[in-house]
Amino acid sequence: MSEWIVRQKIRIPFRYTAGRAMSRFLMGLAERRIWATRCEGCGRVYVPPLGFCGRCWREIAEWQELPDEGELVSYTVRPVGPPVILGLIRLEGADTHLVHRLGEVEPAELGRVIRVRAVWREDRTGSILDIAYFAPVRSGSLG
Amino acid sequence: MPRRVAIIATGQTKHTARRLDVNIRELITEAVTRALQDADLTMRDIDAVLLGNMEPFEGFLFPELWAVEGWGGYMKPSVKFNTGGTVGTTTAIAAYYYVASGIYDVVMAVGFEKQSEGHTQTAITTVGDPIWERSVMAGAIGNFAVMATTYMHESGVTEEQAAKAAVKARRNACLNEYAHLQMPDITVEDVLRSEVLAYPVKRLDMCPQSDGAVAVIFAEESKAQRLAPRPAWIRAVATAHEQQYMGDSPKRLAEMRSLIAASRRAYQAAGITNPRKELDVAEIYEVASFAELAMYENLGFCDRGEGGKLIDMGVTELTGELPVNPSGGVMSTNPIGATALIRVAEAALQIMGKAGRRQVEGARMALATGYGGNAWTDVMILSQEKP
Ligand SMILES: [Zn+2]
Repeated sequence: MSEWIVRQKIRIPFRYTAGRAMSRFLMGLAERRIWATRCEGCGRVYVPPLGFCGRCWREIAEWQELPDEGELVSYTVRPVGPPVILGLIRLEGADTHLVHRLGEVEPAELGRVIRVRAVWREDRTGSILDIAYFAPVRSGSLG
Repeated sequence: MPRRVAIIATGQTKHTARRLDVNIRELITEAVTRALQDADLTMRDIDAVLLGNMEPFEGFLFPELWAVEGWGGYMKPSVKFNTGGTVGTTTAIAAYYYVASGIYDVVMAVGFEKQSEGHTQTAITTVGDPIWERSVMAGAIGNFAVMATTYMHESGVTEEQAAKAAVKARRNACLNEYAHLQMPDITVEDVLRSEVLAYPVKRLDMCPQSDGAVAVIFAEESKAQRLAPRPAWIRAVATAHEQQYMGDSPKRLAEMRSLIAASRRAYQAAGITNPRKELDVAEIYEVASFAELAMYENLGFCDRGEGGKLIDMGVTELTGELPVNPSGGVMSTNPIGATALIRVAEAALQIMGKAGRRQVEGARMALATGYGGNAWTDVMILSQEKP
């Protein structure tokens, strides 16, 4: 009996201060608004917003509101259990992409989805889950 | 032959218990921006950036990855260091190596910790031996208290003498605009009457937990001379690692083997034979009052068992023969991943003559140490004279 194994578990509680830019973004979500920042150095529109551009090493002061609609760039589907679909979404006007859940869509249809828009929760708390999921914008819908 | 290297600039945040106005990236950027301003440089002038942080204290790993726009590592040659209490000095010594090697000319070392957001004692427990230490101890204080008891017994140091070191730290901190615990009216009585955490250690004997960041810029000889009116030259660096298992070293404070080994190696490289006479100021990683007195002995500032006498005589006060921690030290400010780099920054400020109200007049030779791990030591010696 030489393979004696000790089993333990580590649990590390933590908090995280959202900071200047993300605080404004999260408060915006509670109001169904999506705030981005634009770096005057490189022109990139960041969402989620950055208050400081590491590429240009400069503060970002310019804010702009983006629509809650954009392009579905990529996706994946959980293969077991009820399908969970993750999408990579580029909001209209953004240079960065958001990872979020997709809904109101069957996995088999995903290849034909071009545009998606946010479906908001009624009880919003200032979290990225204030967007329940992104759903396809069907042709003929009012958008 | 290593090249000559000097520290040319430093930047610190105002260290405090809780920075709710900024996130981790924003906190680091404050220190980095101040260091760049201090040298009148931009990020383009920095050839490589080294980051120090004591993950997973804030509950995350890879700060170098997701905080990159905060510390300036974007597309630069960079490495992160995580060596416990020595994080900051390890980062500083690595920055020295980067420049001394001839590969990079200007290198920035950055350290941070936002301790208010994590659960430090839980994270520290992960340092312990899984079979023995994690089963019977939690965090750093119990471990340290056991050593303090042995040290008192070995050296005859009293709780009052330890309390004097705690008072010195918090009073010196009042002269340092960046220090966290500034207590102008603190007395020895206050320390002795503060809550007992684990005998003989009381709350005011211990360091606080701080949110803070620091950045230090190192440069090769010609750039150092061009960019800084009075650079702080690196005279010697040394590191030494103790065996980790606590029970192996029952006199860990009374006899700090890694501190003895690293400091003697550095003294020899810097040509120092009598540290108390030849050093003008020391910024040591003292973590607690008892440790400061033990470090006086182990650094050779006095004989064995004389640590208490040294504080009684006022030798290490700001106006004494060898001021120790004019900044207020770790007992006043402890954002762990930054703490040892703050020792280096403060030692450099003394040599550069930029330490403001905590300036030691005529400081020409300064010592900075990092200590942690359980018992690892880094030492850096800085001088006004070129090595
Ligand atoms: Zn930019």
